[in-house]
Amino acid sequence: MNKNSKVVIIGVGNLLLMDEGIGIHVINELEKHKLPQHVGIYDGGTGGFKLTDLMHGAKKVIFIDAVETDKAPGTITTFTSKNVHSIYPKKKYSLHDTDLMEVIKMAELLDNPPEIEIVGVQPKIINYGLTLSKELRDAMPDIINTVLSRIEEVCSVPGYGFLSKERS
Amino acid sequence: MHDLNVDINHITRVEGHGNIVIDVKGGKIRELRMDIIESPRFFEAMALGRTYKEVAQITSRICGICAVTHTTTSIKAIESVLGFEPSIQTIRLRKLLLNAEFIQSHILHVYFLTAPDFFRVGSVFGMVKDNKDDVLRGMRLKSLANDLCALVGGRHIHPITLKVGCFSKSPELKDIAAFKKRIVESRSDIDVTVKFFKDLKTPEFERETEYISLTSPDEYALYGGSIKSSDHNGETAPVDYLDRIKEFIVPHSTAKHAKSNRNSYMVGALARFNNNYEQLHPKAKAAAEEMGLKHPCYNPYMNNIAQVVETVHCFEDSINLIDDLISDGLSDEKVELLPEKGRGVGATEAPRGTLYHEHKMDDNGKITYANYVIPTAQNLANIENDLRSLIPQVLNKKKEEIILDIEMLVRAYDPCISCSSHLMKVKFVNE
Repeated sequence: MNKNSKVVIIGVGNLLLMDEGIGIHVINELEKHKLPQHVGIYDGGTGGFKLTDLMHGAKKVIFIDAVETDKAPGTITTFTSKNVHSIYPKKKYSLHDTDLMEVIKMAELLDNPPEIEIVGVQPKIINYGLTLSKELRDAMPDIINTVLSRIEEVCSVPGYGFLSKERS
Repeated sequence: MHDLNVDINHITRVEGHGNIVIDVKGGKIRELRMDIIESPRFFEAMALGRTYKEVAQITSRICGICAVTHTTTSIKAIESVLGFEPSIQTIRLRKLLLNAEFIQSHILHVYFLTAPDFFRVGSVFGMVKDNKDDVLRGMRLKSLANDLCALVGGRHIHPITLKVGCFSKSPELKDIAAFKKRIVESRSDIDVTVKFFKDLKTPEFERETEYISLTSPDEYALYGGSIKSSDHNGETAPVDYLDRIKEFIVPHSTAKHAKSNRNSYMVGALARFNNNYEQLHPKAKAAAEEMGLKHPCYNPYMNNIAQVVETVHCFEDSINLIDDLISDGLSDEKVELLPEKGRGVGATEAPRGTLYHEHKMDDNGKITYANYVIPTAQNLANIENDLRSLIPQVLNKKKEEIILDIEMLVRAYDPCISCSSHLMKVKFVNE
């Protein structure tokens, strides 16, 4: 992994809350694939505002996260912060309920913010547990293909690196 | 106002967690309860059957903000079972990593959660228009701490080099030395931070309570020590933590509360400041004086000022730790510990207060029992008691001002809601 990757993929969520950890499960799966050297892959866990530190120097950041979209479990929705209604600032009593959109809003305040998009996956079960629901396990190949396709598309744009011929 | 009805619903995705309910009638509090954390028993259940080498990876995931402390405490509990004492190098690196977590957590807490209240802007995003430099300063300091976490812990979030016995990989000496330069250069941001918080007017309110923290004869105790209560002269070894604190279940909550000598006690920066003031770095003491934090202090809102003081301390302590590491050199350590049946306890100061992990394991190194006492579980009864004392004093204010006082008090503690899903709920523009 290149420390100053131009393209950064970050999976986020809590591994201990079943489908909430989908982003981390996807990162673990992606690590089995050979990706271009300038593509960084990170397990962002429940880093909250710490996540902005994984984006430094990147031109493009793709997050993978569980997103409540009222669609069928496993449904993949790719979007940017511009696609969603602003519900921020939201009231909070604890830093522990920071969600990804707040992190993205914060990152966009910085100088030269990267382009950010989210690959959102509709969860089925969010409760204590280390495994994914069946629906999300079944959706995993589609999610991986979606992310790999986005990486390839992004890397084919001049300035973002190279078209990945290295990927197995 | 003699009547007040407040029902704050905190959004957590796990059912049954997340309310602050206050009902005042005729000036008397009829109901006041707070239930905003999960029971750690779910995480404890996940630890059962894990090996002594892997259990820390589970506990690391309990909290993204305090991942270093959970991992360290878990490891210390295992080492306590095995009667193992790590090398000075390992302890120094753990302390450095812990300092990084304290700095990032405290900075996020005071800049991103607390400061917006003083400007009445609702959230840190509201500060961007008029106080962007302050927000960016907070971001810089947070990034500095996280980069230190990555250097020593191997990752920015959820460290991976912390292992039972020693670090799986030591940082390079040249990188540590270079980082010292960065910390020294960032002192100016710390100085401005002290001035920034000096100018913010913390609400006036006092309620003396029992303060519990770790204490050590050698230093301002964060990494370890024995348990000290402000109500007692003696100290308690971590392994006997249940002699000092009692966990109990309250009817309105599945969350465990804790008490000691009284019906509630406080942990966290203010408790540590009150118990261990003398051992703070001189620069931290000077910062406390500059910001008007006098020892001892019984105003829970000043917990945030105590956090700024501790941030100064952790800055200076990190510089000293790096000097010691450079002076003694760094070697790659290899420690292989065999499992033993037994019981062990780890106690570490997390940014929000003392964290206890108790483990029992069998001959094969499998965890057979786990008990985790998190800072917020200990503070919960104390926050409720603060609110019981505060509300009668502010009932003559307008309702929105009372609610702000209540919210600011809760935010001063920043309760840890590990079960809080970080799940986004979005509504798309074209829908």
